[in-house]
Amino acid sequence: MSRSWKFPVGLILVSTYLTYESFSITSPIIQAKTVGPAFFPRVALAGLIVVGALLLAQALFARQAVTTPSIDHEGADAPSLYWWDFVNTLFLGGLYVGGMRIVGFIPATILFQSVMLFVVFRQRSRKVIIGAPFILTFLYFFVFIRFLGMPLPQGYGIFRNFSQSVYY
Amino acid sequence: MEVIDGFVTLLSVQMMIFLMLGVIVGLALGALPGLDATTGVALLLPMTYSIEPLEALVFFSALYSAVMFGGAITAILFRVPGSPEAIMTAVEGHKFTERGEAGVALSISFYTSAVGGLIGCLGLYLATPLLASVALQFGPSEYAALGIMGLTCITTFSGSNPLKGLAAGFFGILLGTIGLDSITGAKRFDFGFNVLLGGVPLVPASIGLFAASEVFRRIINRDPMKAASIAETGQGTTSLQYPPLRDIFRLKWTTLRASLIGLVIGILPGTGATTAAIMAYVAEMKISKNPEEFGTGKAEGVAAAEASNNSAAVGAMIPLLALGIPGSATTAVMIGAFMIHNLQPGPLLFVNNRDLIYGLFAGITVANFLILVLSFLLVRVFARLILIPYPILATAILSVCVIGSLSYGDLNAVSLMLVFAGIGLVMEMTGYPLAPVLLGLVLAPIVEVSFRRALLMENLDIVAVISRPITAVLLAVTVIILFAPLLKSAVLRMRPTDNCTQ
Repeated sequence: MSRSWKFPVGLILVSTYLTYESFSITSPIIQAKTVGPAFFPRVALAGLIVVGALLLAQALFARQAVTTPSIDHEGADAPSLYWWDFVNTLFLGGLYVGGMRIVGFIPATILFQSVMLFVVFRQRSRKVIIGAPFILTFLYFFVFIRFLGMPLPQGYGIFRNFSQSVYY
Repeated sequence: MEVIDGFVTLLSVQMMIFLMLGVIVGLALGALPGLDATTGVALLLPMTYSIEPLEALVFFSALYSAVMFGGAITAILFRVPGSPEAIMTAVEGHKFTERGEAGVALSISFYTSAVGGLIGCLGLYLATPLLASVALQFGPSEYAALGIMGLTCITTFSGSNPLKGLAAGFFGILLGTIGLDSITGAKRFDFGFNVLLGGVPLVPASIGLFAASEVFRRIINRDPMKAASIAETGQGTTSLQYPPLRDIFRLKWTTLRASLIGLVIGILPGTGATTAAIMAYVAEMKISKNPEEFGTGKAEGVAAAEASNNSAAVGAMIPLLALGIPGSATTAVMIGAFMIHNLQPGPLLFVNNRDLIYGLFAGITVANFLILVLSFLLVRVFARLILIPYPILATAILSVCVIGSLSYGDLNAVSLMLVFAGIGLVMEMTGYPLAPVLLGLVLAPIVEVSFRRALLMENLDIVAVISRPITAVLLAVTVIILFAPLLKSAVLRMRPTDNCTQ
């Protein structure tokens, strides 16, 4: 079954909820009530609801017009999607960002890239898993920290001492 | 005199370094599939925090022009358009490589791109101050009308389904209204998150939408492995012998026509270099005596596509600088570079920062010469860039996305970037274009604040607002832009076609 109708339905539902929410936006200035702070959000939401309805109609009419199952977008020839790779990437990304606070930018980046290459991209060559993250992190260090002086996380404790010894 | 002063401001070691960096990074980004000028500018936007405004703007302008050149390299060598603007170059230019004449196609591409870029620069010098002087008459109502005109360009980004483009545009407008209302101070859709009170920040949003979402999409499809295999099978025996200049000179009229088409299309907000390349290619095919030769490796095809896309890239800077309206998705992101330095693109820039503007013009002009020289020097290096395995490239991009968002703010900015990456991924996978979201996000606050301010100034009299001369003209042009395609198709339907009658 095609999922092309699901997105417009979601769009309409979310827009309707936000339209309801927009009534809680109040303006402290009396004159601005005619074109108050909720006016433009409601215009955009009304647009989304109308376009969502048209997209839904388009999807439903398109499904009626389809006579053979092979034309369906979700047919047997559709490419496989590897959602676990995406979930792993998000998880590792979260760890990277969270861990950066504790261990600092340099160790976190080397670790993140090595694990990404091993887990998500299934690289098994030691040269790639170890070499590439070190080279890339050195490039970031040179460009963003040394050259541009960006205040990237330094970590805590010994990691902070390490960061401070190389940052400045 | 100001023109010469502009060139004089470039005469510093630091400025030349940023110019060179912009060109080299742009050529590399252009040569790498999946990374275009928009992604490049979004990724490197944080760089502008710690450098001078002119250096930052020259860097990004050089990068934007260089991406157009770089995109042609992989398009010609491997039929992999490094950037969308090089699609027509891939169609026509790779045929040269198949014949063992890659050097010919690359030379044509480099020279015609440079000429296209320089014609664009001429347009920049002549048209921008003119447009800006008119724009000085602009008040809130005129800005609102101009913003509305920019928003109508959403449909041109929409691809095959305008409804999806409209949905993306309305979503962008909605995002543009999030945060504290700048007129009344009312909170809007912040859902208790303080980070949203200042509105949706453009930098993490654009990095997430364009750069990180593309990596996620490739990961989900396991595209990296496919990209690597394309690179590995790239024709390693490509000849890089360059043709004599007289062969290139033969293409002068094609280059001139395509450059002018590119310039005009680039000036129109929302069209962009990809449209310019396609239109110039089609126009050249239409006027050719041998249209059947197009698609088989014809020099005119490469010249038209390349001259027009580079001219359009420079042309897109004209509405950005003169009116504050982005002419393309890249210039929409580039607004961030101006805003970071408290610069508002538009007519006031010509009053308050004239030296900066002419310095920028000079930078773009010099960048085009520099790109031409560096293209020939670096083409062999870039031909090897495609061999970088995508897994390494992807992890590198993700780290830069995080660094970019971190340098914008704190971890909240990174979270926001990831949310936008998710949104971008879902949109791309369901066929919704991303550029209208950014257009809405950039233009919605301008339209909203200006329109409401204009109404307050005119005591809520809407007729007084829209009957101001410039506002009326702009709104009329908007209506024409909106309804011209409908009128054209209606006229074409009414006219009996020759094929039917014969």
